[in-house]
Amino acid sequence: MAHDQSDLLQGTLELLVLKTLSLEPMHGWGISQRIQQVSRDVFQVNQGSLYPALQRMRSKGWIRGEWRTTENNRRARYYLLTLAGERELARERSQWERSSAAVNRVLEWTGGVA
Amino acid sequence: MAGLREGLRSLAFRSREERELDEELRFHLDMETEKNRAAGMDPQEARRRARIAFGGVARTAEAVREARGTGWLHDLVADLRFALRTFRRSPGFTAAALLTLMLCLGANAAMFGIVDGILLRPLPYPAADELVRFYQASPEEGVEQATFSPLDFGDWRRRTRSFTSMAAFLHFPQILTGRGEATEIGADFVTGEFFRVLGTPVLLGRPLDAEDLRLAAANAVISERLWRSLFGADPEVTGSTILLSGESFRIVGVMPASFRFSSSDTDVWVPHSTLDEMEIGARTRDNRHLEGVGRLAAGVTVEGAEAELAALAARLAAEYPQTNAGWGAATVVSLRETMVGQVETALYVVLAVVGFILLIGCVNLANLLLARGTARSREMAIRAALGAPRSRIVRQLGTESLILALVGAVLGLVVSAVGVDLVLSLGAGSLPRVENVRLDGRVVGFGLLLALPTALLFGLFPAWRTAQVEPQAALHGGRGEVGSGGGRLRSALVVVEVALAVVLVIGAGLMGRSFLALLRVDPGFDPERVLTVAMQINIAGVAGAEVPGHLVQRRDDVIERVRALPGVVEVGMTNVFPIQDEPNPLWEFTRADGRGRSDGQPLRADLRYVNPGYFRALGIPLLDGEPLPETWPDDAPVPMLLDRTAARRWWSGEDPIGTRIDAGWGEAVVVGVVGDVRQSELALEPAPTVYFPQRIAPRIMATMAVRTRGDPLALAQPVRQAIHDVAPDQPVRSIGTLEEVVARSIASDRFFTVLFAVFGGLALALAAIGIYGVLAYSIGRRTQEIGLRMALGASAGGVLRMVVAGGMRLVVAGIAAGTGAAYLLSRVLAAQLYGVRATDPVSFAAALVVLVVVALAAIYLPARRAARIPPSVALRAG
Repeated sequence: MAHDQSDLLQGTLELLVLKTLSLEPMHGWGISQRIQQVSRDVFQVNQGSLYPALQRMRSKGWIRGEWRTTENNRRARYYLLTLAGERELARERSQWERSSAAVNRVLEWTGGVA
Repeated sequence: MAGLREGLRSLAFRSREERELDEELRFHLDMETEKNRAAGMDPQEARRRARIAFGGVARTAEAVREARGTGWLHDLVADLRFALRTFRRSPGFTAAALLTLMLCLGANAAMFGIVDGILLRPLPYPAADELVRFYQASPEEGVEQATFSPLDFGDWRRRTRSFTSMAAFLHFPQILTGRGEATEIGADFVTGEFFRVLGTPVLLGRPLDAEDLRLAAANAVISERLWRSLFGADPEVTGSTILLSGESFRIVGVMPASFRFSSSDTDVWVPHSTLDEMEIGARTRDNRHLEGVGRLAAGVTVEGAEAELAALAARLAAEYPQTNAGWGAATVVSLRETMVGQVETALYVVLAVVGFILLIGCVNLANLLLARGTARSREMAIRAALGAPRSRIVRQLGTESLILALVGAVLGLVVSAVGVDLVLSLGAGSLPRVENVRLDGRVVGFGLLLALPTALLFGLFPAWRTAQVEPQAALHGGRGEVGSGGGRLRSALVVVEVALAVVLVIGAGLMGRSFLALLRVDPGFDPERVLTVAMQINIAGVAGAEVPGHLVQRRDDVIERVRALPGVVEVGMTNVFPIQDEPNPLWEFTRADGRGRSDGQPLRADLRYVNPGYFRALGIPLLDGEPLPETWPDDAPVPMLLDRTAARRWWSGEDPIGTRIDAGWGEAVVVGVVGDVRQSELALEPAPTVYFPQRIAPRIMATMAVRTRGDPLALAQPVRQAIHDVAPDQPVRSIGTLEEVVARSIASDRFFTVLFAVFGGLALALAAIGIYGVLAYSIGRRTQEIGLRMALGASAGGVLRMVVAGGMRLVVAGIAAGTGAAYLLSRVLAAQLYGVRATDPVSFAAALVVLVVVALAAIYLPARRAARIPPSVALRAG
């Protein structure tokens, strides 16, 4: 079943969760579905890492939980991005962009010094 | 902050968190299942797939829980667990530490509770810090706090501005009749503003006011105690009447039990104007019998009020030289000061003493921990080598200290509950306001809070030392010393605790010597085998004109009947009994020949009316002349006696016998001189006293001294019966021995002496334990070295000398430091001491001897162990 799928690196998961929540508040299952869809099934979010990560981010004050009712009238814990979370998202995002650019440069390197 | 909130929440709301987590994960599973069903699976398969995809609900839940445990809280819990494990592994250390902490923190909590109740809690009156007592004063006579006359009081009240209200009162017990047995109760005769000054609201009815005073209305306010015992707490009590010494008073109000003012036995308050001249004498300015209480106006200080009142007293002295000369001063003291001033310093000193004890205890514990730190250096080295940061190790050790201190504090609070009762029963009768002492939240809070600085004091330094471990060195050496100079440090701590103990032992010595000096004071009478019987003659139902005759008759009848009892040697009677009664205001008289005093002022003496048998009954010697006669011719001057001090002061060198006295009401003649008596306190030098036969001015107050052949208390019942036989309506206020009277008067000195002795002993024991501990430990570590010395030819005696000398060096250093400190600190004790100077060399020397002896004992045990170390240990591998 699991072909072409990657486990998320620690830290990357948090970035993706923050990004997802920056669009709209969402419950745990929704977050995992969204990441899976948007990444076109490249990232399979493992529940064993998702929920502890949500707990950690809650402890750090980046997100907060809130019990709401879904469209199907079920109670679910929605997560919302806090101000601190928005700052963290910006910070992690720029870091990610810097390092992925760096990785790309390394991969595209064909010898010699640029 | 978020972390703290989260951490606390996760502890406090664990079960809710758990429920929510369950629900969240179930929701996830349900959604997954639904998704599978929507993809066309049958319900069972959909659920199974969902579970597989989820990969273990329990494991996920556990992972979330782990993520929840925030850092510091997690560490704390780990530290606590570790500390408890450590304590279980070393029960001896734990027990010693907890015992020390329990005693030291318990003593501190107990003393704090006592100081809090007696000194810190406000007096039970509204705005109590405005309340003051005021007195007339006579700098010439060295009298600072004297009573004053109603006429002077009237002027003070009208002509001063320092007070919003002023009141005066006379505490004068009365005989209550008409309701069962006649009994004597405490009564205050008060002026109109008395209840307004104090401000305590009545329980029932109304207080007395200015109108009651003006009309001399026979209205009374009674105590809650009397209201309950006499009227069964009848809510309709107002309007009932009570008979006080035969006079009927209408009850208008009831004061609550919390209202205690002039005396704890006061049960009734009546207008001062209901007293007649028969009872208090002429309404003149020199009839000084009132005490005062007032409320200061806003912004007026005690000193300011005193200055104003003194200036007015000086003006009155100038206006009325006949009566007021020599009384041109006043004293104002805060009410609080008059209630607790006598014990305030002593209580704070004792609080400081238990603080010292805590310091000594902390030193012992610090030493213990340092020694343990050395023993645990390997453990610490391993932890450091495994990457534990130094701060983490300090925190771990700090947690251990904190737990010890907190558990010690809780145990200490249990000890203090017992201790407070013990101290209060020891101090019964000598401590004011003990009814305010209770172990409440304040005391518990103090006890627990004190645990924090205590833990810092004994724990922080050793923890820091221990954490200084160099992993490599400690692991290599196996039992290398932590850091360097650990032994020196412990030695310094021993010096400190010996010094502290020296200070306390010297303090105990001073208090003990002072108390012994007090016990050795010759009161001027012989208190052995004397029964004292206090009463006032009941005049209820006696017509005013017949009262004097009745008083003489009743006194004579009682004396005669009691003297006839088998076992009675002699019966004395007086209106004011030594030590037990407050002396009356000074009496003024002059020598008929005008001599005695060069400044023209009258002679002032303590005047007592006694029967002729008084001196033999109390064992007061007749030094010169004749005793008082039973009778004398009507036209002859009234015979009187001087005490030695009066004779010396005003007849210096002359023979006083036969000298005439102008007594104001007539002439008297000195017939004899008797020995001095300490009339008010053992510690006070005798003041001039004169004695008149009681029949010339019969008084209501009559206290008997019954000298007996055997045990005086065996005669208590027969004496009671004899008085009852004379007159069934004659109550007795109290009966006891003269020795008890004397012992009660120095109860407070005894109390503080015992406290000092107990705490001095505790300090000594703690210091001895500290010395022993350090030496025993260092011998243990030096076993090999000492064995080597033995192997190289050192004698057992030599080793013994070496260890003793090493220990005594510390003790001597501590004694030197402690003696210096005690010399500086002892002056705070000066006011508590009688007959010894605060720098009394005997107390200092005795304390040093005690210290040296105890220290030698503490040193000898480990030294002997060292001397018995066989040389062969040097050969064994360490």
